[in-house]
Amino acid sequence: MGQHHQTPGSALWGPIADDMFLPLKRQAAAAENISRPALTYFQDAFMRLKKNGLAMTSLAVIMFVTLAGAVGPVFFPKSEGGVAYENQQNSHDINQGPTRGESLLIVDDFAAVPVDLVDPNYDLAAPLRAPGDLLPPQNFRIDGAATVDGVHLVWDTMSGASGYAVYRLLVTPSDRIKLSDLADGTIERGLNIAELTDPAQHAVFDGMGLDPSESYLYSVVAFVDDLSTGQRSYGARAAVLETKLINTIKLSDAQTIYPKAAVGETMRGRAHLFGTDGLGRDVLARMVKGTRVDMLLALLVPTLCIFIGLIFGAFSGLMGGKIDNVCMRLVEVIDNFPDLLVFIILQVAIGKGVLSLVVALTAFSWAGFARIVRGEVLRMRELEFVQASRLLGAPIKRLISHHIGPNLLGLIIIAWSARIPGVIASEAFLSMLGLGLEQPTPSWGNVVFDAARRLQVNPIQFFLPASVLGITLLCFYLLGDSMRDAFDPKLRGRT
Amino acid sequence: MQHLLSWGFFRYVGQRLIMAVLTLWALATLTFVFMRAVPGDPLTRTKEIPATVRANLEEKYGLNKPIFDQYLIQMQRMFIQGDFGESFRTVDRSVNRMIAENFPASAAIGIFALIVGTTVGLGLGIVAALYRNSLIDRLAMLLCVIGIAIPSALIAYVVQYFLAVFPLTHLHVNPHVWFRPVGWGQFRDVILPGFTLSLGIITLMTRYMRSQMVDVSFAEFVRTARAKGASTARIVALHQLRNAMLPVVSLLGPIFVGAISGSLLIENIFGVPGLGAAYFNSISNNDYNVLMGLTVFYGGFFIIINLITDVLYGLIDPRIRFG
Repeated sequence: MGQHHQTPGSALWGPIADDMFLPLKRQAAAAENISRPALTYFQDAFMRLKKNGLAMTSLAVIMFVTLAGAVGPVFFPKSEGGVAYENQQNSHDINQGPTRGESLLIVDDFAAVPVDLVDPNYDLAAPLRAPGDLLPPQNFRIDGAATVDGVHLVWDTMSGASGYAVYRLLVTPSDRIKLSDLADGTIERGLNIAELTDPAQHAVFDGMGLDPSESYLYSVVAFVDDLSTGQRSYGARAAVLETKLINTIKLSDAQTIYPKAAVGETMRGRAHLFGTDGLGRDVLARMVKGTRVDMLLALLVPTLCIFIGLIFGAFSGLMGGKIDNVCMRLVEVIDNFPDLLVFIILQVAIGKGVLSLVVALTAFSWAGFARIVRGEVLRMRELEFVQASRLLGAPIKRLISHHIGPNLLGLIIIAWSARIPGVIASEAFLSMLGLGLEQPTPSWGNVVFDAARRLQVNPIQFFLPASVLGITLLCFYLLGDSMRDAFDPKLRGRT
Repeated sequence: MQHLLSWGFFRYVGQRLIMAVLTLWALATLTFVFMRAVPGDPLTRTKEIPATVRANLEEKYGLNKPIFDQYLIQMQRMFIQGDFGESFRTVDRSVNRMIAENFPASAAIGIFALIVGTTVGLGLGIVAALYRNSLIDRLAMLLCVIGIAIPSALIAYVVQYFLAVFPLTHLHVNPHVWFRPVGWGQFRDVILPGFTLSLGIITLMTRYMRSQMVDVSFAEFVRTARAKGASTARIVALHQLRNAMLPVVSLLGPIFVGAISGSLLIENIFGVPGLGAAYFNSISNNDYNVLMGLTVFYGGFFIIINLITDVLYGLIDPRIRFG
C-alpha cells in the first residue's frame, strides 16, 4: 500500500477525488439472481464422484475389465473344430506357469524330439583319487534322437571294468546342482536305471520317457566285481550328461497358427500370460471370456432385485397396517430360506445356464431391498413436504411420482451398486459347489475355483485369476461406497 | 433389573415366542413345499432300485402316504415330539444324532471366530475412532473393505496356502506342530478356519464400533464431561465406550448365529466335519428329513438368539421398557 504514494504523478495513483466513487443503483431483483448454473441432483452427485480419486480409479479398472471381456475374445486365435479358443485343450501344455510364448522348433508330425545336450562333455580328465580306482567311462553320449518316450545312451567300453551302472536324476529348473558334485558322487545320482554286468554292453535305453519341461542328468559309472568275495566296487567318479528335450511343435499344430510353417524353422509358441489349467486351456482366455457372464449377472441381477424390491417395499410401506405386517413376515421367511435349495430346484427346472443363474440369484435376494424401500417410504410418508402435498389433495400417484419416487432414487442407486460385488461373489460361490455354469463354459467362479483344487500343486494358476476377481470386487465395492457418499452426502463418514 | 420383572416383560417374551413358533412353522412349510417340488425323491439313485424294494422303503419311510398326510406327520413329529426323524440316505442315523455329532465342529470354529472377531473388531474400531484419519485408522478401513468385498472362500484359500501349505512345503516347519491345511481333531485345526470366519466379524465390528464411537464423541454429554475437566481416559472409558457399545450388542445376535452356522465353503476347504457339509449333501440327495431338520434347527436357533439379544439389550440399556 505504501508504494502507491511514491508515484504521485500517475493518473492511476493520483490523489483520490470524490467523483471517483459513485454509488451503484440499488437493484433489488438482482440480489435474488443465482449467478451459477443450477445443478440437478445427478449433476451434483457426479461432480462429487468425479472429485473422488479412489472412485475414479475403481471406475477405470472396472471399465478396463468390462472392455476386456467385451472386446478381448475378438483377438483370440480362431476356434478349432468348433471348439472356441478358451475351451481348447492341449495335452502337452497342462498346468504350465505363465509364459510369453517359448521358441519352438517345428518338427515333422511323427519325428522324434531332438535333445538339447546342455553339457555334453563334462571334464573327465581329473586325476584318479586313489590308485586302482576306476576311471569314468569315456565319451558318454546320446545315440540318435531322443523322444518323449525315451533316450538311447552310449559310452565307450573300457578295459578293467566288469560292468556299468547308469543313473538318472530329474532336475526342475529351480534345482541348483553342480555337475562336479554329481560326478564325484557327493550328491545322490538319482534313480538307478540299469546295472549292466556285461562289460561289452556299452549302451542302454532309458524308456521312462522325458518331460519337455524338465531336464535330466544321466550318469554312468564303471564297477568291478571281485569274484572271490562277491564284492562289487564302484568307480568313484561318473561321467555325466545333462539333457533337455528341445521345445518342439508338430508341423500340423504349427500350421494351425502359421499356415506357412515348415519343418526345421523355429517359431514362437502361444503366449499363456496366466498359464494353463489342468486340461491345458489358456487361463487368461477363460477369464476374459468369463467376464461376459459375470458382468451380465452384475448388471442384470441387481436391477431385477431393485425392481421387485421397489414394487413390493413401496406397496407394503404405502399400504401399512395389516398388509404391511403380512408383507414383512413374508420378507422375513424369504430372507431365512435356504438359498441352496432354491438354486438346485431352479437348476433342475430351467437347467444349468445363465438364465437359471439370473433367476436363482434374484429370486430370494430382493427381500433386503424391499425392507429398505419400505422403511424409507414409511419415513418419507410422514415428512412435511409429503404431508403438505397430501393436504393439498394430491393423489397417491402424484405422491409417488413427484415426492417419494425422486427421493428414493439416490437410495436405489446406492443399493444397486452395493449389490454388484455380492452377485459376482455368489456366482463364484455357486461355481465352487458345482451349481454354477456347466463346464466348459467359463465364468470367473469356474476358473478360480477349478484352479483352487490344485492350489497345493500349482498356486500361481489360482492366484492370478483370484487376484483379478478380488481386485474387481474391491473396485466395485469402493465405487459403490463412493457413490453412496456422492448421492447421499449426509451419510459420509458414517458406518 | 426391576423393570425386567414386570408383566409387560413377560407378555413381550410370550408374544415373541408365539411369533417365533409361527415363523418356524411358515419356514418349515415353505421348505416342505419346495423340497417336494424338486424332481426325484430320496430313493432316486443313479441305479434304479427294484420295484419291490422301493415299495418296502416307501412303506418304511411313509413316502407312500398322501402328501398332505406326510406333511402333517412331519410337522407333528418335529414340533410336538421334537424328533427330526431319520436320514433317508444313511441307515439308522437320526437327524437329532447328526446334529449332536456334527454341530460341535461348526460350533467350535464359530465360537473361536466370535471371540477373536469381537475382541479384535471392537479394539480396532475403538482405536480407529480415537485416532481418526491416522495411519492406523486408514489401515483398519482398508482391512474392512477387503473383508467385505472379497468372498470368504477366496480368503480361505489364501489363508490355507500362505499359513499352512507354504510354510510346510517351503519353510520346512514342524508338521506336528504347525497348522494342517486340512484336518480335524486337534485344537490347532480350529485356528485357520476360525480365523478365516472371524475376518467377516472383525470387518463388521470395526466399522460399526468406529462409527458409533465417532458419533458418541460429538454427543453433548461427552462435551459436558470434557468441559468439567474429566481426563481423556475417563471420558473414553466411562462415557463414550458404554454408550457406543449399546447398539453393537444388537449386532451380536445375528453375528453369533452366522458364525455358528458356519460357512459351508470354509468347512469344506479346511475339512471341518461340521453341519455345512451335511446340509449341502442333504439338498443334493433330496434327503427330506435332514434338510427339513437342519433348516428348522438353524431357523429356531436364529430366532431364539435374536430374542435373547433383545432381552439382553434391555438389560444393558435401562431406557428400554418392554410391553
